Amino acid sequence: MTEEQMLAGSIKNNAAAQEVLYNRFSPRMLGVCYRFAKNREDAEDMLQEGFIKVFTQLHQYRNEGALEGWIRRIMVHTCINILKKNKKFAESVDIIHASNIHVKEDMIPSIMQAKQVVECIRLLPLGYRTVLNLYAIEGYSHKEIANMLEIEESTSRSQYTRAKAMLEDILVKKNIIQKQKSRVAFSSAVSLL
Amino acid sequence: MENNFYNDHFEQFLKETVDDFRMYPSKRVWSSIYNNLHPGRKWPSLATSLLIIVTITLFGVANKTEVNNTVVASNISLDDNDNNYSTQQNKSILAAVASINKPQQSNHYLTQTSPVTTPDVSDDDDTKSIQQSKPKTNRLISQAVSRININDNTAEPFEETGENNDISFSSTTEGKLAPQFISYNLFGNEMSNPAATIRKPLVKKRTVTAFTDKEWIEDFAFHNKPINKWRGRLSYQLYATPSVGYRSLVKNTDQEINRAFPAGPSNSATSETYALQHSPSWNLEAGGTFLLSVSKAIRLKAGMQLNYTRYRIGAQEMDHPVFTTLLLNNPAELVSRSSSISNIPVGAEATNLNSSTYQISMPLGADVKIAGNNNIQWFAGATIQPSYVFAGNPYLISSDMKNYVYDMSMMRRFNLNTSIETFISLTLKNGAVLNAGPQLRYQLLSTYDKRYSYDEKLYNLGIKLGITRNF
Repeated sequence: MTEEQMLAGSIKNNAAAQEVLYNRFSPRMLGVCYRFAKNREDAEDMLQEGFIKVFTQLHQYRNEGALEGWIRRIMVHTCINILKKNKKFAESVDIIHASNIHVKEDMIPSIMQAKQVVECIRLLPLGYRTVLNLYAIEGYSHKEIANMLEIEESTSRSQYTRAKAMLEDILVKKNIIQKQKSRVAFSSAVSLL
Repeated sequence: MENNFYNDHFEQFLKETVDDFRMYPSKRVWSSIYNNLHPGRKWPSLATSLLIIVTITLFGVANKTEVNNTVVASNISLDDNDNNYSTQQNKSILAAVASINKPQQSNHYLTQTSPVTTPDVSDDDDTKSIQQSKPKTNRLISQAVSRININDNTAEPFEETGENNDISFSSTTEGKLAPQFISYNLFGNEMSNPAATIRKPLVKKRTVTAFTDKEWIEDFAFHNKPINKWRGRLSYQLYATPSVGYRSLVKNTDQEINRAFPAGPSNSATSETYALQHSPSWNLEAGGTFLLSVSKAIRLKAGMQLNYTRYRIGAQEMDHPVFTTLLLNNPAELVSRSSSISNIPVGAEATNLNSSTYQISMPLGADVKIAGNNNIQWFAGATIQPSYVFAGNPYLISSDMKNYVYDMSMMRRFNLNTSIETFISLTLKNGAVLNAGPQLRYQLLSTYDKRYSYDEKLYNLGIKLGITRNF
């Protein structure tokens, strides 16, 4: 089934076409949701709600950009909306509370590459994790993040800075990346060549 | 500048690493999405699924005794440096061990609904050729195998490491596999199992073609293992229903009230009828039910409850008992009783009687969700309640309506009640659900024995308060 057939069938509420679309994009989208969610069950709930929105709003897709990107934006917004329903989310973006959080080394999972990095991201506090996901991975600007999360732009920036520092610390402990100083030195050395 | 350069690299590293991350959702996600998009198609798909399941089961039973060179199942404890898996998987992962030498269809990706033959192993070839066997009903293995992207050029031996790597499979003859289970170590250490005839491992050490395949199988099998489908659907509810109850009293015979009866001081023939001074009173119902959600909107319920029914009788208590009779449906049958309670003013002390019953009932019924979201829902429900009256205070009006007779023998022991209700459910943060709403309960059969000429049916209207929790 081509993408056009899949789209046309899904818009017509054809179950087979919808299932093809779901099977094609659900693995990656669940990965997106998993980065925002507290656990796998929550991630699947986000995925479910996101795909229901995708199918009900599919007629609004105008072929401007890739379909995956369009679905991804809906999924991210769904994740944010669900997180915002959780009252604890508002507290988690408070800098004062987040600054005292430490990640113990034995919490760091020992699984490989992509999943390692994702699990390390999920170790971050909810507010840090959300801002980092939105800025560094999903590519939203701090202004857009501030609007989505209903926070100040400066809060978004500071949350991201702290999130990145904490994540870097975790990744270094896991030997996934080298320390910042040596990396900067390496980057500088590369730039001189 | 170096900082910016590093920052860009860090973010680029994050994006590139994480972008390719995938997870495979469990089946319930698509089921929920499908049911949401196609709400009218549940029953046909349910019937079709049931038919398919029965067909596959019968097929599996019919083919049960056939011996195939098939790896039926394996308990693989993978190298678990990963703490996330070690405690949770606990040898429950079903994996398809396949090292393929024969050319396979490259990048073969099947949907979950298409059956796939399970590859099996024979040991007649040092190169470990794989032969296709008959389709097995092991759904998880089939699906796990079907989703592996099989690349012809990357077939490498699968390597098991660690002490706990046991592959359990079976054989009836040396070198052949059969669908019985023995357990023995992969490296040839035979376990004590009378069914075991294998003397050497059929599958030698192999390395996984790609580590991602292994991880994918692990992830897929773990997150798609059969779950207890009833968990989450079953809940229990405790409730109490204070109510106001009364009765309907109907004469079910055409006989005259003042038919000839043994004469007595209080049984003088008269054409008068006397008004009964009855009034409603408090009733109570309390019990528990099990609730089974069969769909998003319907749940079945069954339980047990105690009922206390009551209504008040205004009467006068006489100093001396009198003889009276009870009017029965059978004219040939006469019931004579003594009574010290008068329905008519006789100058005696006024008293209030409680005509009551104590019942144990088994409500069976269903609730239907009318509207609502995850937090607040509106339900309507109905039950039918076979009941047993184990105690009570039945006061039967005499044939001339002048006296009340207390007679337990005229009380019907087994009865049938029905109830209808509507209620609001409120989900609390701890997961418990509070329910509250009106309920009307009505007794379908008379309180009294069918011999008695009056039919009394009790009913009560109250507020049902309950709390529901999932198992």
